[in-house]
Amino acid sequence: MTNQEKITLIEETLENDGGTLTENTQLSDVSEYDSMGKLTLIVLCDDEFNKKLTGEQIRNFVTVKDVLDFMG
Amino acid sequence: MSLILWAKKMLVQQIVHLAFTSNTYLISNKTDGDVFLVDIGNFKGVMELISDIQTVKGVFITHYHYDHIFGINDLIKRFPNCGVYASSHTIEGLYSDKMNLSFYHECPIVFQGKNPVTIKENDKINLFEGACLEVIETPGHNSGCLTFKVNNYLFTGDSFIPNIEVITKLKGGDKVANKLSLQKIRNKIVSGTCVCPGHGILLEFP
Repeated sequence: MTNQEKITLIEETLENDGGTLTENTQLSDVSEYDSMGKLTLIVLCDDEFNKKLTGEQIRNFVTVKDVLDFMG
Repeated sequence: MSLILWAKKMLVQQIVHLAFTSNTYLISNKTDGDVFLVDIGNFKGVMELISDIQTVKGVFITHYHYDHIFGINDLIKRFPNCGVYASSHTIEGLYSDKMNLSFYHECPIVFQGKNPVTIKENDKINLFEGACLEVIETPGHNSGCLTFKVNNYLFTGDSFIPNIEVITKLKGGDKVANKLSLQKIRNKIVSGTCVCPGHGILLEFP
């Protein structure tokens, strides 16, 4: 899966308007990335990438690229 | 924390789970020992409210998210004959800690009981004299969401929380279905209806 495809998946998961996220987007600037958004991201990583995302890991994410790198 | 409301012969008590902020509701009457619940987030809170002679006869689950079913195994352990009533999709989620999201909170909940009862749109269940529970399917927050109407009380779970936008981005959520469900719920609200949501305070419509 390409990074752009992963970004689209993240946008769909967060119910963020398509095309607004880039690798450099600061997660703190994404209003949909709230506690519920983080929970949906945890489920996405488990379902689609078979990776368990911990609370500590999610707290260390700063940009969208950090999420992409975790997805692998 | 609990709130008590009397209506005719029916008593409705709200029990809040302080960590999850989710509501459990206890429905009883003045003369009978049977008690019914809507959701079971806070089992300890239920036990603090019921007397030694009272029995929890049934629990109606609005949807399977962990904050609404957290105490379900303690409940059926203490009351093995308690009926568990839910939609078929919700029953599936009771047995899956990934579906009910408890897996991701490191407090896995997998229902230990057998033979939950599937309920669906327009089903009517007599709780006790003067109190019949009507089932309303309200998918949107989750595809298995149910709302329950008992007399003038409407137990809406997370399908309708007054002044809060319904969350549809969790797995199984559906924005379009939610819109239709909200309209369906609004059609059930008349003067005197008391909305008992899955989170937050009760709202009585004038």
